[in-house]
Amino acid sequence: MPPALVIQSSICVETRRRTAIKNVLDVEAPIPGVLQQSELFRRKYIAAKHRPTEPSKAYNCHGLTFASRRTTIYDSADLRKILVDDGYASVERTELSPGDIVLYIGADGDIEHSGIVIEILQIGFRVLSKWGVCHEVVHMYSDCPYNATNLEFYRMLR
Amino acid sequence: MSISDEFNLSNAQAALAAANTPLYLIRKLKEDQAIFVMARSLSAPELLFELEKSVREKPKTLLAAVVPFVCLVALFMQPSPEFLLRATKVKPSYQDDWFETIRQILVETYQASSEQRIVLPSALTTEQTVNSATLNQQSTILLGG
Repeated sequence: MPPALVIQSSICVETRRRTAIKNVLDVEAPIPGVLQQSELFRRKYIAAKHRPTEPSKAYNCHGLTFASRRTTIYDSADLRKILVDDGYASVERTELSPGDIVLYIGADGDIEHSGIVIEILQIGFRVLSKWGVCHEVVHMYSDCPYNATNLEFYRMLR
Repeated sequence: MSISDEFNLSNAQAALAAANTPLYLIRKLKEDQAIFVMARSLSAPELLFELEKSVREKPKTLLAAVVPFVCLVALFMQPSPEFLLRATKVKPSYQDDWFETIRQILVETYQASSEQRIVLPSALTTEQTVNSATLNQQSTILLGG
């Protein structure tokens, strides 16, 4: 019989070089107000495709991008370790390809958001990402609640 | 009347819901005009009291969940670090990694605000107060003859 799922815990997440990555897995249902906030985002960002997923505290954007939606990762230093240890290569924006990773870097160097590039367009590119504890969204890279002026792109070559 | 009744925390709630990292939440709350107003309207002891009250029980709504962070940032905006430092003794009754992280960051990055009065000779008699929430500095510029 599998062990009971504790409401808030962490799971084993490691890089390819066995570096432990801090994470929080919180499976408690989102509190009232989060659903309404998700709905407000759906109405505000009408050009985006809001996926039919529910708000969830179990994973955030980095958990989607780097941990297969299993958990929440929020330490920028740990995200940098993943990029190095797992062999991600930096990519120029002009060479972007669907499947590449995009990081949104805040003014203080914080990796405030991340997502997976899913479509390249003449006017930019579309990203699949999770918005905090809200739902998943497919959106133009700048059509989101995050600062899109400083972006970094990465690709796993092998 | 509670903080959530008196001040518009809708942007703060949106920031908390969208936050993937504690630093994002701090940045958004520092930019929130409602929190700046709150920091100027309530005294530091009042803010500390509201903070202590807000963490006695696990928040049951998004609005209740954002109040502790709003109080911490408002304390950060005070001209003296005294009550922000007192806030380091406040212990939530529930587990919240972000509360400890955000509090620590605010304490470590606190800069005392200073007031500078600059009187410029001019025919105008406009008084304008400029505040930089990021740097926590406040300048009062008097234009007058």
